[in-house]
Amino acid sequence: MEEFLKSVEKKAFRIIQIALGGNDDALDILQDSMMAFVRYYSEKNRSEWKPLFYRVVQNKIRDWFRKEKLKRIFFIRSSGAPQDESENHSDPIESVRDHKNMDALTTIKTSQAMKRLNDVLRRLPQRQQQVFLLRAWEGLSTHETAMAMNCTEGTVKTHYFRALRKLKHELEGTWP
Amino acid sequence: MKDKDDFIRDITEHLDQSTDMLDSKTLDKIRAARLKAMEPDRAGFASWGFTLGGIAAAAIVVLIAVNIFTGSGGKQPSKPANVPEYVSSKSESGNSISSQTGGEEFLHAKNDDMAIDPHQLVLIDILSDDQDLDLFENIEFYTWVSENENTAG
Repeated sequence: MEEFLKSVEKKAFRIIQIALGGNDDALDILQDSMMAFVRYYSEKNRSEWKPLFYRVVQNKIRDWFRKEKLKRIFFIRSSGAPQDESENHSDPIESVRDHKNMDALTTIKTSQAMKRLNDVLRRLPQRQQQVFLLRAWEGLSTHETAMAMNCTEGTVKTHYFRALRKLKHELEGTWP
Repeated sequence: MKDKDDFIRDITEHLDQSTDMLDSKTLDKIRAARLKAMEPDRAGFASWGFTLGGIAAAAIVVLIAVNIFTGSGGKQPSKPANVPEYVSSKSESGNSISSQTGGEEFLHAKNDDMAIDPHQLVLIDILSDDQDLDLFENIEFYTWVSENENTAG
């Protein structure tokens, strides 16, 4: 179990981070997801672990957005002024350290490319973004992604196609 | 124009790089989160321990309360100060109330509803005694006589 968590933790963290934007909340959600997964799904077949783990992650992300919505409503009512969302989320790129094997120019280029990619990914609708990351980056099959996202395989295909089209539209020719 | 697969590969490579370049502080936190997640049994045991401890404490309190209010623990009528020692309001056998004179048990009350006041027991004891009632009424006189006989003798 620990080996499995070790194999998925970094990607899961980045997937949560892209969805949320905040470092601390992403870590909290990752920890909650790991704990819930170990508690409820460790007895399941090992081949199902990855989609089940990401299903827990997706549920936690959804819970986080619900809480944020409630917080925002409460904040607006109590202060009378909406909070600027950009103040809430620290840029994950800031937490990225310089890679030892890269020269300065490559580091800057990579950082800029990652920042651009992050921005475009964050602008995608939530479900399209998550389907794309799970399918293209985490390598889940359509069936596994459907299990993780709690939707049909047809919906996964639709979200993936639309996400890819938007990414191409935003990035192709100007990126990296 | 890039092939679709090349485009996706570029994106995934950049995402991979972003995980490789996570700072050590974040990596430590991720590792700590994993280690904490791997200790559910201990956390579960601790929470169960607290739960069981609470239930046990509550059960003890309930038992004590039931014992006090139902009186099975021995709610006994208080014995007045002037009741002689040979009159016992309750025997060791439990619910029977007895009075003994010369070692002879003569009264049983089978339950607490039928409990008799110790004052009454004293009276019953006196009335049922073989000796004449006059003896108790004139006890001071008989005491004086016996003392005088001793001094005269």
